[in-house]
Amino acid sequence: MKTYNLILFHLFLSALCWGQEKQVSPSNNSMIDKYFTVYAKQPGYEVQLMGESMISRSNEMGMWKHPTIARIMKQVKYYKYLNIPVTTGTKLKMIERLNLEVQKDGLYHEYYKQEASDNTIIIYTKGLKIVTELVLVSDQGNRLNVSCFFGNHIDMDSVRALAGGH
Amino acid sequence: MEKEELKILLDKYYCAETTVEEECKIKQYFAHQASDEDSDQPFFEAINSYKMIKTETKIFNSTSEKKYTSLTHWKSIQKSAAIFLLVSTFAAIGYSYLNYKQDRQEEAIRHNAETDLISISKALNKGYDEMNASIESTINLPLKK
Repeated sequence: MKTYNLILFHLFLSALCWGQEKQVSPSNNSMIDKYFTVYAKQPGYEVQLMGESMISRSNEMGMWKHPTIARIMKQVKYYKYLNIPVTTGTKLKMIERLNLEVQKDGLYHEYYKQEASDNTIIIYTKGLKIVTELVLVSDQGNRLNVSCFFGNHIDMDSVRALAGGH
Repeated sequence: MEKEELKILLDKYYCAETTVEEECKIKQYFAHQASDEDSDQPFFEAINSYKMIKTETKIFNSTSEKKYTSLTHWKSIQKSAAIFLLVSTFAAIGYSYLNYKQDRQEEAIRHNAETDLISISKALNKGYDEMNASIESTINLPLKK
């Protein structure tokens, strides 16, 4: 019985150490993974990821349509995109639930929100001075889109300058 | 051998329908036949020309076998080449199609990223413009006396 307990204790310790060393990839720690995986079983749920290698290849090959986009994408390591079909009722419920959870967790900051009769745009950031994740939640008709841009430091002024900002 | 029978055999011979025994029969007949014996001159001319033809069965058979074997090899090589060409063509088409599909997917996700960045930028600019307009209107408010 003593040996059995000793083995169990060792197993527990090794599992603990393994868990501490294991690093979660930033692309698996996005707003989509945190708040939207509950809808994963819903028909039409679609997530796409642009990995680091694809982004660097696009940067090297000059595949971006605008030089400002190219400059922003040099600050981005991953891009994750969610597209999910919604009805007006479910869309409002989802946005309401997201707001509540974001406020409760305090991980993301609501950077900008625009609500109109036909569409809603919410921009979230992770980090206030140094933005490590930029999120766009928007709806297009009967679809809800969530886009996450990850980086070490995403410059919000560069993003604003894209549409001819000051 | 009767003339009639010989004629039939010769007809068969020129149509390549004679058996080996029949050819031997003809050969034996002409081996003992003098060319000027008969008045049927055109017929014997044909006989003479027949005499000039070497019909050694063994040599003929071995050459044909060799030719047949090399022909079979050539045909199998042709078949293999055709199959290889067909398979490689299909593989090339499949590979290009997969590349094309991947390129289209990459293009679509790149387009999404670009559209999203533009949407964020437009929304931010709209927000800043509205904020600035509000500030300006607040500054320009007439002071109460």
